[in-house]
Amino acid sequence: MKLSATGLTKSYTGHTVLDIANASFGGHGVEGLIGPNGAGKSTLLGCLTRRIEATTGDVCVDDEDVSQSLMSMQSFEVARLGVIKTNQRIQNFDSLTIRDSLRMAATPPERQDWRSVWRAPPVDEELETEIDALLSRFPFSDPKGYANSGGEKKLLDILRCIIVKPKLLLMDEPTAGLPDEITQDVMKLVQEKVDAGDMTVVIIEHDLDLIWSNCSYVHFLSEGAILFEGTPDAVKKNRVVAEKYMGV
Amino acid sequence: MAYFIFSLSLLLIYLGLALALHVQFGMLGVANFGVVGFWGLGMYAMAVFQVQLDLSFVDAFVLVTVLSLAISWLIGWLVLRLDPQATLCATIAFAAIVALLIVTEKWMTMGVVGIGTIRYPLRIGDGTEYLYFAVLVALVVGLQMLVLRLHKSPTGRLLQAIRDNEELCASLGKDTIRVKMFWFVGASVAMCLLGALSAPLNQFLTPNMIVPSVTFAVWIALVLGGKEHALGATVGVFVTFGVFDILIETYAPVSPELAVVVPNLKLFLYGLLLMAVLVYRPTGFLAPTTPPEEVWSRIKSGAITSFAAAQSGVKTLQATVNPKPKSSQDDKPDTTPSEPGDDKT
Repeated sequence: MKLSATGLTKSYTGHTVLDIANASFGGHGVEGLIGPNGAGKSTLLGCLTRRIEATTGDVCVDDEDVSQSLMSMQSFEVARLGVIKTNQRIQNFDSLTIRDSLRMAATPPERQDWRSVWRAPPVDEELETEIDALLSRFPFSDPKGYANSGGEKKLLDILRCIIVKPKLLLMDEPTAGLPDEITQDVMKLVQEKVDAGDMTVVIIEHDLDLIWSNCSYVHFLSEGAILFEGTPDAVKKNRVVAEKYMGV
Repeated sequence: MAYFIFSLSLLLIYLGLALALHVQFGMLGVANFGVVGFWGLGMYAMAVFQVQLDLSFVDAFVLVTVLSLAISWLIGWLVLRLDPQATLCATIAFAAIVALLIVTEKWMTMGVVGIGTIRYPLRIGDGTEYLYFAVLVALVVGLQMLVLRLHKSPTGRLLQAIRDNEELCASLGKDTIRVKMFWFVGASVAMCLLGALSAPLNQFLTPNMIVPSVTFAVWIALVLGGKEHALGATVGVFVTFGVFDILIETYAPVSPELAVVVPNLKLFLYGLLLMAVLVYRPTGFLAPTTPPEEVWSRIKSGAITSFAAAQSGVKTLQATVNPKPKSSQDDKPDTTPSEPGDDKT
């Protein structure tokens, strides 16, 4: 699944923070989105998922020859198409246990409406196995209970997005707040899903080592515009990126 | 006896309102401070249809259902996209509008003169009140079952997730506004219909029944009992309305001079109890994590602990007032009450 933005801008009280002439995301397996603080990376992902209303422009989703504009959709409709974003800041459902949180996320709407109150709760074996597999791979201190630490909540946020089976996963700073080894395990899982052709990924990250080792394509965003994009090697060698971001 | 049945029926109505509010506030997180508006709307609509239009109970009930559906939907559409404080203000305003219209629209509601008489349906002579009471019991038990099932269902988890973090929920592909609309409107219609069922209980309606203290009583009961627990509404209503309005106000041997003070004392004690609960047990008597099966044993142990605490409190008080008691220091009772149960188990 691929998202294409054309003429996409976002202004707050006349100050333009995002101005993307033409770009597409999700066409290259794992993609990186890098840029200095305040470049507009999170705003861009917000506009792509319709959480933030763009000022002008259009975002189109292309999936198996079907192309449609996202601009008339609400954020939940974009998510239902398969575009899911993990959160930079910790977001959690504090009153749901880890398992319930994952079940809630993965249960399709038709099994979650008022009729489910009267029906005997169907145990979705497939989903339970999937949750078991995830929880054995990513150990929580209390797997039957709640996510306790900030790191666990951050990890749960990512797992919740993965269990929804996105076609395009947008990750906003996945390493922030996560221990290194967990980050590596997360990236391994993401890579497996990408290799299996289940999804494509766009990662915002300041940890450049993670970008260079995982991404096959990198977008460089600065002052709201995409200044350069290409393979990691090309981006590393690019003079503009070096000047504006890497401080060399 | 008739008065006892009346009080119990009223308790059931409050219980129904608290259960509906539990769905709206405890599960969905929508702060509806206009409970009396929905209840009063249903009650007065029932009276107007029956008295002014001379409709039968069933016809009037059907009309009230349609009317309350339309109005609840409108209110939901107006308030559910607002932030919590705005929702709270908007629902208070709705209740105020209902109360005001009842006074001003005399051609319909008879204004301050009052409207009546609304007769019981299912009239079978002397047993009518008991039969009606039995119907109310069945309805409220049904509502409680619904809430218990809701808590265990995928929908219940979705409602809690929306309450916890609506934006996160939407980002996972959940149509949060639609879900909120459905359950808010459903619970509001339930409140209206409980109002419609209160009309024959009261028989004669006056505008001074549509006062904010109805809303407060329901809120206090829910918060005391445990707003997020499936049985919190029930426990709360029995503790507040059951103990104060029925046991104390009706049956406590109070001299006529003191009887005037009792309603004020009740409000005072409500307030005191509420403050104590909010300070020492912010989740209410029942914490959200308490399994419903354990509630009864906890209520028992809770009652025993509070009774023991009260007893020891009285003894300490006596000891303080009476500085030279014949007992020695070592059988002085422990004055710190222990918690009825551990929340995290």
